[in-house]
This record gives sequence, structure tokens and C-alpha cells, in this order.
Amino acid sequence: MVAWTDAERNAITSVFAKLNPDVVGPNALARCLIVYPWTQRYFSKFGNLYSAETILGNPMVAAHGKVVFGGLEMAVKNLDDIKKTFAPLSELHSEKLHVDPDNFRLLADCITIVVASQLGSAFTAEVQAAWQKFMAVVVSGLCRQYH
Amino acid sequence: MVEWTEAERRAIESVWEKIDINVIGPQALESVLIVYPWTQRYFGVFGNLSSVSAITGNPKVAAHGKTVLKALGSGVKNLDDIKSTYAKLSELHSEKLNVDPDNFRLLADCITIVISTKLAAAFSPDVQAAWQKFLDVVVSALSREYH
Repeated sequence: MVAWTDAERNAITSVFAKLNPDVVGPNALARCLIVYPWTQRYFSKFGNLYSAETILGNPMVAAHGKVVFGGLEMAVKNLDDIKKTFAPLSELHSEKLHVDPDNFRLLADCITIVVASQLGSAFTAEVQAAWQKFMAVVVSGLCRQYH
Repeated sequence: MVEWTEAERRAIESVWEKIDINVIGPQALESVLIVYPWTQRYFGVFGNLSSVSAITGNPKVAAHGKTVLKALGSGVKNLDDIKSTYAKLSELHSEKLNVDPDNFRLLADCITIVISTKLAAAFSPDVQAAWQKFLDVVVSALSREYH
């Protein structure tokens, strides 16, 4: 089981409290599709993804970004049992959606960059360390049901 | 050889113009030492790295951070020949300093995150894509003389 110090819990929950759910999720997912274009293959049902502008303006990308953010919120509320919390999502992404789990790390990196840009100087090195540990645990939880 | 579009060149230069290497360098190196503590092993001669405040207050860390970012500037000015620009530095890090090249990627990630905290919305997805491509090429060049 993952051990969190009080400082780490505080850092993660205080970062999360500052995030705008209508901005972070959509922006992070759009970034992932732009910076790592092969990830677009999972979203062919979303219509027009052929340029950065269309991706950033695509309402289905935005909607799904908010869904992803909701998943992150679940993790923040269940820091002590992220593994179990994400077991059904992990199974879904493995069995039904067939997403290469490497892509979770890429999306996590994009989320971190958006969070950094939202928080500015409040995203200190210590806060970054706690946040990246959190994202690593989330990614690990999502990879867990793959076989 | 690496191909750069005009848009990518402009994006990389626009990031470089906006950042203060005397601020970004130290912060990025401090982040690496804090977020990935095993990297501290390479800096035994820097003295006190025993806590976050020791690291962020350490003048040798700050000085070396500036050195690293100044060297990154060579890459910005020689986008079409990053490989030979960094050949000597690659040899130094491999033969003399014995740095595991995985750590270059970690430092590159921290540089990107610190830039995101400073540039915020100006670090748009397109700009992020170009910047990350640039850092990938730099990391690859630094890893090249290893054997």
C-alpha cells in the first residue's frame, strides 16, 4: 500500500482544490492529442482532430477531458485505496478500449504541465514531488488490470 | 538529421526569449534533486543537500542550474546541428561524470514543468510540442557518446 506523508496529502489536496475542472481536464487531454499525435487513434469517434485549433475547439475532447478529471477527483478522495478505486476503470481501458498503458503516463505528464501552468509559483518543487507521486500511483492503478 | 518546421523553430525561440535562464536553471535543477532524490548522488561536492530548503538555498546548485541552461542555449542557436553541438558534453557526462543518461530526461521534464509555471497560457499545446521535441533531441545528443 502506498504511504503518504501528511505533507504529501496536504500538497495533493491543496493543489486539487485550486484546479478548475472545466479547464484542466479538457486542456490536458487536448495537449496529449497535440503533443503525442498517435493518441488520436483512440478518439476517432470525436470527429475533427486534424489540427491544434480543431482539437482545442472540439467539444467531445472537452467533455472527455472533464470525465478524466472526474476520475482524478475520485483518486484524490481515495488516496489510501487508489488501486481498488481504479480497478473497474483499469479493466475498461484494457478489455474494452484497448488503450496502450504507456499513454496513461503521457496524459499524466500533460496534466502535470497544465497544473503547473495553473498554479505558477505555487507549484514548488516539493508540491511537484507530491503531485508526481500521486500521478504515478494513479497511472499504476490504471495499468494494474492489464495482462 | 532532425527536421524542424518554421512553426517549431519560432515556438522554440519564443520560449527561449521569454525565459530567464538565471531563474529557470536553478529552479529546474532544484526540482530534479527534490523530485528524484537519487540524482543527488551526482552532486556530492555541492555540500548540503539534506533537505528541500538546503537544496533551494544551495548556491552551488543555483550556479550549476545556470550552467545547464546556458548550455541549452547552444542547442537553441544550433537547431540544425544539435548532435555535434553536444558531442563534447556527452563525452564528459559519460566518460568523466558517469551520469546515467536516464537522468537527462528527468532534468528535461523538470525544465519543461518550470517553464510551464512561468509561461502559463503562453506555453500552449503547440509550443509545448515543439519544446518537448527540442528537449528530446538535446537529450538524445547528450546520450549519444555513451557506450
